[in-house]
Amino acid sequence: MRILFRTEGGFAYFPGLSAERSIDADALTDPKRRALRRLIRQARFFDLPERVGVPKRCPPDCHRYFITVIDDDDRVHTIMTAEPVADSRLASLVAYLQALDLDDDD
Amino acid sequence: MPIYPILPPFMLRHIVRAGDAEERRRAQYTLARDRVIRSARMELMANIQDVVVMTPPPPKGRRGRGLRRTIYIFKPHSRRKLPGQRVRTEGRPPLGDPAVDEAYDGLGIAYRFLREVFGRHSVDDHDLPLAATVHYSSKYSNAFWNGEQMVFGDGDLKLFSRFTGSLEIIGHELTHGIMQYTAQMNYTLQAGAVHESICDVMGILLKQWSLGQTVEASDWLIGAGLLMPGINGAALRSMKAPGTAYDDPLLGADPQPGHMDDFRRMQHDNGGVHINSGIPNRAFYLTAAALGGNAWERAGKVWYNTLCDKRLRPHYGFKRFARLTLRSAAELFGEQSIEASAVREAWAQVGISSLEGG
Ligand SMILES: [Zn+2]
Repeated sequence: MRILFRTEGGFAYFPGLSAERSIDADALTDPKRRALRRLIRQARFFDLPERVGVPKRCPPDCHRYFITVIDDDDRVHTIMTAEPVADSRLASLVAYLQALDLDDDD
Repeated sequence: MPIYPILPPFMLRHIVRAGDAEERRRAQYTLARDRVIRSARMELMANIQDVVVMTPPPPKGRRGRGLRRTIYIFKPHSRRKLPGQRVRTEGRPPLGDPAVDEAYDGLGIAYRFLREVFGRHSVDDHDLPLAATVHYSSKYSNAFWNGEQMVFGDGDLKLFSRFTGSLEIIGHELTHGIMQYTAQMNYTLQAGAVHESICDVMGILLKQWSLGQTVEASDWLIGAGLLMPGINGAALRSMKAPGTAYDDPLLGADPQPGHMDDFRRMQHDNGGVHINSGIPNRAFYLTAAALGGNAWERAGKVWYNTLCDKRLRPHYGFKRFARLTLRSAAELFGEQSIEASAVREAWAQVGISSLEGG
């Protein structure tokens, strides 16, 4: 399974943080991979519409997220969501991906 | 299964037609993903054309009520709704939670600043109560205005610390609120960069006023102290020297230009609103530097007057905004005033000239 995660917007633009992150679930440690799979399942990711709670005009400095998941059966789905992410399960997934983004050291 | 980075769709379609099985699959994934991203961008472009002048919403507050603050704490595990749980209201003693108390104090300073310097009564000029939510989400590295209130994250504590820690950020977010009741500037491309810059200008003026700092004493930094120790940078933006705020292996190098020659055309960041804002930011700094003393007394008045100017339209880019600042300076201080020539000279130094006429 592979997850692509990109954040747009926010109070400032950082070149180092703006690129799409590609996360290979199989390269993660066991607990992390399990957590990630669970969060994707709990968010019912493949059943989500392409836009989840994105207003027509995003508020200033607001983050928008693009998440693509390619599962082991080669299913691919991309969604876009925006802060504040009202769907708590999707919000958990976003928070996990954000935290994972920083873990370059393990 | 790797996926292509963002490639032009015609190239991907070519790969779908002509590539081998593996390449075809990759290209199809990429097309599927990019379709969502592109539709978001098209929506952005649609908003750009959406320049019908909207009348600002009627003020929500009632003038004369004065300062009324409410600070909330976000409850991520129950209802993820803003504002969250109310923890401190006007007149209540400090809670001992730095984020709560910084937001409370910051909003108080901002209210007095607007009132004493510009005669403005809160965000809507009618004493709109000020609300802020802190501890938003978890390890959240951002602050934003959601149309009704301010929202602050605690930072991931790896790159960023608490967003309430910088008074100029509180002022910046509050100004997004003021813009909603005044010029309603667009939030894309040049107009968006003007919008962003006005928020930085008001944010830095708030900081300078609260510290009693002159033009010379100010660091002109937005988000000073926000980067964690070990991150190579002083702040998120520098108004005096755009492009020099940080240069770090994780964050990259500060991309802000300080002159039209380096204007960035891009699709990210709503068309570079937090990047190209460096140009009008520096024009403001240069105006203030030429005048010296307290920036809020003269340069700040000119900019504030422009932000409230009914002639400022939502889609105005740098040049038309610059013209209005010059008109404001002329109206406030006289056409031959040193203020007007400081404004003219400052814009010329960032590559925007011929402001007369039009
Ligand atoms: Zn902003």
